[in-house]
Amino acid sequence: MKPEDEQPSEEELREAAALAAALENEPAGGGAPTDALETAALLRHARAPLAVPPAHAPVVAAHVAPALEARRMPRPRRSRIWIAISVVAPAAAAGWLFLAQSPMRAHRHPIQPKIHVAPPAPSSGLLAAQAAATRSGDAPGVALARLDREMRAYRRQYHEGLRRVHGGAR
Amino acid sequence: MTFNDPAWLDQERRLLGELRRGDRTAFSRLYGAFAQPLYARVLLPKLGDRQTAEDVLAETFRIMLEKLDQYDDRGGSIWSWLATIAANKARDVERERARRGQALRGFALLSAPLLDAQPPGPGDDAGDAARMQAAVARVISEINPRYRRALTLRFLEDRPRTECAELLEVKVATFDVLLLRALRAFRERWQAITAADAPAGAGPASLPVSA
Repeated sequence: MKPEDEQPSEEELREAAALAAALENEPAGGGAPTDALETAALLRHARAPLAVPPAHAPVVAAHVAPALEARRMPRPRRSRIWIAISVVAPAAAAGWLFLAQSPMRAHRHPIQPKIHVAPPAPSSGLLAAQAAATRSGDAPGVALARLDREMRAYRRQYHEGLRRVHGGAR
Repeated sequence: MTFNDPAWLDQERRLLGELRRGDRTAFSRLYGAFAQPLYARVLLPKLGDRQTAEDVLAETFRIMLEKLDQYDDRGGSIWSWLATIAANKARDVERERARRGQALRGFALLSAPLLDAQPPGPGDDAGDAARMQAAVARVISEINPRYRRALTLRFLEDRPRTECAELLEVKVATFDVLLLRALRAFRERWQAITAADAPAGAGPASLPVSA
C-alpha cells in the first residue's frame, strides 16, 4: 500500500485512468487492475442488501413453466408396453410356425380335404380378462394370470370342436 | 436453520418428491429457500452485476428442473448440487465476458471467506447482507481517513467522480489515483480481517466446481 501523498508512477496513473473508465463502463476500462475492480464491486454491492428482488419470483416462474409442465405430463407406463409385447410376440411366433409348417403338412397329407372349423366365439369372461390385462398398470400379475386361465379354457373349447370334426384323432 | 438441519432435510425431500411430479407449490417453496443464498453467496459475488445474477438464477432453476432425475440423493441437501449448477453457469457467463473484453468483475474471492464461515440455510434473508455490511463498515473504519472518505463518497454514496474530486478539493486525475490506492488499502485490510475470522477450510475452494 502506498502513502496517499506519494507521487504516482506512470504505471499507477495508467491503472487509475483505466479503473476510472471501467467504473464508468467506458471501453477504455479494459486494462483496469483486477484487484481494484473486485474491491469496487464488493463495495458497490455492500451498500444495498444482497437480496433477490421480490419481482424476480414471477420471472423465474415463467422461465421454468415449460420444464414444470413437462413433469406434469403422464409418461407411458413400462408395464403396458410389456403386456403388449407379451401378447404380440407369441402370436407372431405362432403365426410364423403355422406358415412355415403348412407346406410340409400339405406335402405329407396331399389328398386330405381341408375341413374348416370355425373358432368358437370368445366368452365374456375372456373379453373381460383381456380388457383387465390391458388396463392393469402397476400390478399386471393378477390380471395376466386370469387372462391365462381364460385362454386355456378357450383353447380347450376350440380343441374339442376340432376333435368332433376330425373324429377324435387327436 | 441450515440446509443440513434434519427438520429441513425432511421437508426438502418431501418437496423434491412433489417437484418431480411437476407441483408448482413445491417449486415456489424450494425457490423461496434456495434463491436468496444462491444469489448472495454464489451468483452476485461471481458476476458482480445484479441483472446478470438474476438471469443466471432463473437459468439455474430451469436446469435443476431438467436434470432433477439425475440428482444423486445421498441423504444431504440439494444445496451443493444447486450451488454447483449456478457456479458453472456463472463461469460460462464470465468466459463470455472475458472473450468480449468486458471489465466488469465479481467479488467472490473477497466475499467467500466471510460468507462461507456461516453455513447457508433456507431463505437466509438478512444474515449474509448484515455480515457483509458489518465487515465493510469495520474495514472502512480502520483505513486512512482520506481513503475512507474517497471510498465512501464514490461507492457508499454513489457520487460521480467529478463531484468526489470537488468535495476532496483535488483534480479528477488525482482523485482517480487516490481511489485506486484507497481500494488497494481496503482490500489489504479486508483480506487480513476475513482470513483471521474465517474457520479452517472456508474460502472459495470449499465450493465444488463440478457436479
